[in-house]
Amino acid sequence: MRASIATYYLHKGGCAAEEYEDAFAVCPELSQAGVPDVAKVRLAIADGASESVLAGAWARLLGKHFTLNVPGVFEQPLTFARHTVSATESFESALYDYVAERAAHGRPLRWYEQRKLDRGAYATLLAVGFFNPYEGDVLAPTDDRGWTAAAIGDSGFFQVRDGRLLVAFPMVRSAEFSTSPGLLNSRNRDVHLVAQHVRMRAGDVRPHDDIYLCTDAVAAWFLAEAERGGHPWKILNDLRSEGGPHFTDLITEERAAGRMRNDDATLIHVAVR
Amino acid sequence: MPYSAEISRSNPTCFVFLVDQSASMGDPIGGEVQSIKAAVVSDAINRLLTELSVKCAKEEGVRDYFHVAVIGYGHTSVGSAFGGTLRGLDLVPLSQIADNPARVDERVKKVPDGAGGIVETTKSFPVWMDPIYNGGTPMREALELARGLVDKWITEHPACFPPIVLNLTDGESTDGDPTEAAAAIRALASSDGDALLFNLHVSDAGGSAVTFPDDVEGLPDSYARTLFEMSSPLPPHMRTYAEQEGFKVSDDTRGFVYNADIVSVVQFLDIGTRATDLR
Repeated sequence: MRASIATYYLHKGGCAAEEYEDAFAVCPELSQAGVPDVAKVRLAIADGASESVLAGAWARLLGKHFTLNVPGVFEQPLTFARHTVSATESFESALYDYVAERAAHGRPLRWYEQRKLDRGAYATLLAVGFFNPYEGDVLAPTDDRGWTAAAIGDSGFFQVRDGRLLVAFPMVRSAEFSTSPGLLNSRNRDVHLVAQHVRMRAGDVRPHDDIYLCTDAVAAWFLAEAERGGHPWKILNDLRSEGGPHFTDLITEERAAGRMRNDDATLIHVAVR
Repeated sequence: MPYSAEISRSNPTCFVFLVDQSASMGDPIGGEVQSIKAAVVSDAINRLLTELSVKCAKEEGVRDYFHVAVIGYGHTSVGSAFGGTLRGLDLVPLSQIADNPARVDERVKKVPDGAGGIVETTKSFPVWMDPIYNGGTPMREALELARGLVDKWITEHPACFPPIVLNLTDGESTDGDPTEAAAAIRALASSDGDALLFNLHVSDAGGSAVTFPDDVEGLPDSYARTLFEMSSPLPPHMRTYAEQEGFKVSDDTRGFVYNADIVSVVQFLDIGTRATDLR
């Protein structure tokens, strides 16, 4: 089975493009991968909390960190949590460079930035690994290919099979979304605390499945559309088709109609073929 | 739905703090801590401005989600209570507030030393306003000034999250009945709802605080009832937050605290400035 992967993103309305603070990462990188074997794919999506400083940088680091092919990361909450703590150590080092660079450019941190940095950066995280069970490293796949997803916060994973929504994870209803989702703090070194909060789920993959990872605004919209009896996956699949809508137009229209919250919007679509 | 407007740099909102600077604010506050009322209130506002600055700080600086005025009212005048380079200004964008404290004090703080003991450490404390206390309580004039600021703000920002006026006082108005001026503030509205006026009465004699009441029962005198009637109901998101903080609330809960000690001054400012949705 091969994975045809497409990614889309748009910053929140009224903000500059460089203020986009979601992040996504795909391994193998799309530019190099062609259409990779699904079992070799790692995906991550993260939503930097806009109330923290350097949230976008933290989200990007998490995305990269969780698409490295590190054995055992998805085995259990504790192994996943250990990997998040190693991400916090990498971020601390990047932060040191950032502070030095600001000082070197005559823009040392102001008192309020320093206080905010002391509180750490926050982001949600959803990481997904696909596996071949005969190569190990999997929770409990039931078919010849499987996936494992790990989530902190409200970024969404959806799997559609035979025209119906098979899996919604970790949120299953649009009403579950709030303004205070679970977040991963860049200074949190408490492995057991992270392990307590991470949610994991595994499943199988079959040809013609479609899998979507999205940050909260798109995820809440997706579930609300499905609850109304709609087929949001068809709308998202159309983004790939010739003559189909552009992601920017779709999101702008849904925001304007009040069907989607005005927030950074990010989507990874995996078409399994 | 009212009180749901997004607060953003292109659609900011404003806070107007009215601070009683009459002579009686120099008396000790009720409760265990030995401090005068004026110092407790100015400390609480300086702390709030610090927190707001940090909350809205991003890599490029502080985002102007809020414009803030701090108006003092006492014997000499009704006007800006800012010191330093902001002296004399009324509504100031938060980024300018963050970059221009009048000074930064070093305050001694006792913290656990990690080995069961306590050590003293210093922490920087930005100061925008100092405690001042003399003369009477021209509350009516202060409310009228706030009404003018809010009116102008709403004209310029018609779709904003409704402006919030927070009045902190310890005594009765000495320049006439304040209720009409208070009603004039509450009568102003953006497309997202009526402007909000919250009142806090600072205690000087101890006794228990009446926090976020929903009727006049339990209020000791006509003065307390007047302040209650002057206060807006808490909007839903603030009610929810107050409930999470352990207060009993209903649809009629007012943004009003009577006989406040230090803790309830801080709670009043925290709940009364709680934003819904910053973008």
